[in-house]
Amino acid sequence: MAKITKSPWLLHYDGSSCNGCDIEVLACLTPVYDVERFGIINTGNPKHADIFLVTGGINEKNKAVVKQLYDQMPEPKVVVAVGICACNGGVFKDAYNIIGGVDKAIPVDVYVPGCAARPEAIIDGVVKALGVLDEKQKAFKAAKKQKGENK
Amino acid sequence: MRENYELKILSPDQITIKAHSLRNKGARLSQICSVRTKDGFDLLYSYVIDYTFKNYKVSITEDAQIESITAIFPNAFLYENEMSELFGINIKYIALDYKNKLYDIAVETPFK
Amino acid sequence: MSKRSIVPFGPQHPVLPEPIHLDLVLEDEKVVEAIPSIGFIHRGLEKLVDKRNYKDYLYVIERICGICSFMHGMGYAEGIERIMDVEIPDRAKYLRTIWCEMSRLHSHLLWLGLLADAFGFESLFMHCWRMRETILDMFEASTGGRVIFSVNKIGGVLKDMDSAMLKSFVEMFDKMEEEVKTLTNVFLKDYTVGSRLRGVGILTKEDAILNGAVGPMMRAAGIEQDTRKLGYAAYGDLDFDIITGKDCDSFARCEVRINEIFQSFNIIRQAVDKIPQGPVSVDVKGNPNGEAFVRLEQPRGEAVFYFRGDGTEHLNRARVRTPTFANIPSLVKILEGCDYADVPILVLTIDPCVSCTER
Repeated sequence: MAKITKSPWLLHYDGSSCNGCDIEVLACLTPVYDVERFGIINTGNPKHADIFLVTGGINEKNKAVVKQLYDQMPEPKVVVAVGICACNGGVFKDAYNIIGGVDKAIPVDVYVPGCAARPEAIIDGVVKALGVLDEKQKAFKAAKKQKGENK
Repeated sequence: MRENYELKILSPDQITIKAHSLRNKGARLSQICSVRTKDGFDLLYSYVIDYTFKNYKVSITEDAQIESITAIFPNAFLYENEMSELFGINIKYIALDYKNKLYDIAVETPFK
Repeated sequence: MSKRSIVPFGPQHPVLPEPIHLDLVLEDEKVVEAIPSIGFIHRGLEKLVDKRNYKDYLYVIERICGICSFMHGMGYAEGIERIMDVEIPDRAKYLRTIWCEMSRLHSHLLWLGLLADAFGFESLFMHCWRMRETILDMFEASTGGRVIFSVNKIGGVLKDMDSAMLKSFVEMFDKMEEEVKTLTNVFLKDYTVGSRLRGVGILTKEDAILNGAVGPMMRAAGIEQDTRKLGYAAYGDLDFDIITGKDCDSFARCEVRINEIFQSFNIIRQAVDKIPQGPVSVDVKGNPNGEAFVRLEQPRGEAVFYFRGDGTEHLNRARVRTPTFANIPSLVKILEGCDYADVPILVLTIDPCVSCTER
């Protein structure tokens, strides 16, 4: 990671996981792993967030909630699927109420595997998400500029 | 050391009577669950008095209707809603009836 | 009578690590009724017995919850061992006890941290979680996992801890105990913490029994009941008292959990002293045929497991009644009549584990 262009804020939501990954996401924010040293802050408000961390395979009732949270986040935004059940359903894939992966509900940019995903892996995923965020921001600015020229 | 618990058989009309007498003895409702059998369901009511663990098994047919015990043990509402949603068991007079929307699942009575 | 309004709480809320939804009926600033609605994490794990054989299902049942994953696996193993009439080696029983208490330690520290976060004491939250990392390191050294351990097997445990490791653990716990003492003093003696917890969310003894409260919720109401006293695993050989509170409020629940942390240190020390030598597992052949109930004391309270097998490799039914499921009626009870601003604290004092609740 050469440099970070902004201090991204995280939104974390448990999308029907076993909460093992959720604890690890929180563990990333606390001493020992401490992602706050990169300027990353955990927020509870989707309207403040740039990166959306979702854990778990998403069930039928949660699908609408995840979609709504995603829609509330301002552009540009990045979605990170944390844990193997967020990637494709994992051990819960055959369960009757699981739709099998976050990408069945919202578009996902970065996948972090593991059961439960280790904090190191989550930090790697977040750092990768920062790169995606930068690219999206550039594209977003270019599109905005073009829109201005066309007017 | 393994716990010694009792498991007794009850008939469906004794559910509320037993619940009443246990409540008077100061029991706590520990759980209710159901098991699919060949021609119906087994309902298992578990109560705890101090360290004794009392279990009652009630065998019912698929279309039988049983009476809720929420009037005696208010915490039974979660267990009874769960049974009626997942197993399709017909329970009447539940105090807080979620009408099969406790978990709000996509499939109908998956355990039936 | 003032006008009533309904405020939705959750599923996504800054104080909630997991989704649960409450409809709060308010009269001015007072909650008059709370209607819980769950189902955001319901996966249908109990049904997976049809698709996994009884040995593989152990790994599914561990993933009911990431906090007490060890105890869920252990409850399942004990249930199947009971049905199949398998007696596990003594060393395995002691190892299970040690891991159980370590789970309780990390769970209670996690809860203390979340509670501190709920009343806005961020640095206290960070300190609690820093302590917790030490225990996770021990878990990693002894089982290989930080959250999901998969160290149970039907007929014992998969990994052994040698005496050098056990000794180093006890030394670490001795050191930790001092640190935890300074940390928990903040909870017990700080004026601001007390003002948020004392007299809030009173659950009387009668209400606790009527609403089926379990674990620290029940013990804080003065009921002396701890499922560990049944003597499963090695608890029968170890000496410990039941910790109860007397004020029935949120502070009492906090106090009970804090005292249980120190109790867990003691139990681990005793278990390390008494652990016998020998094998850690026995081979199990055949399929379970029969039914069994097992009760365990998880960090959140009594969990009831029920299993029924019919002689095939797939179980007929697996049922887990988790402690949070039993505590939800008590939560509804304590929310009635509380201030709206106290709702997040009260939701946290039952130590909610929603993944457990909904399975």
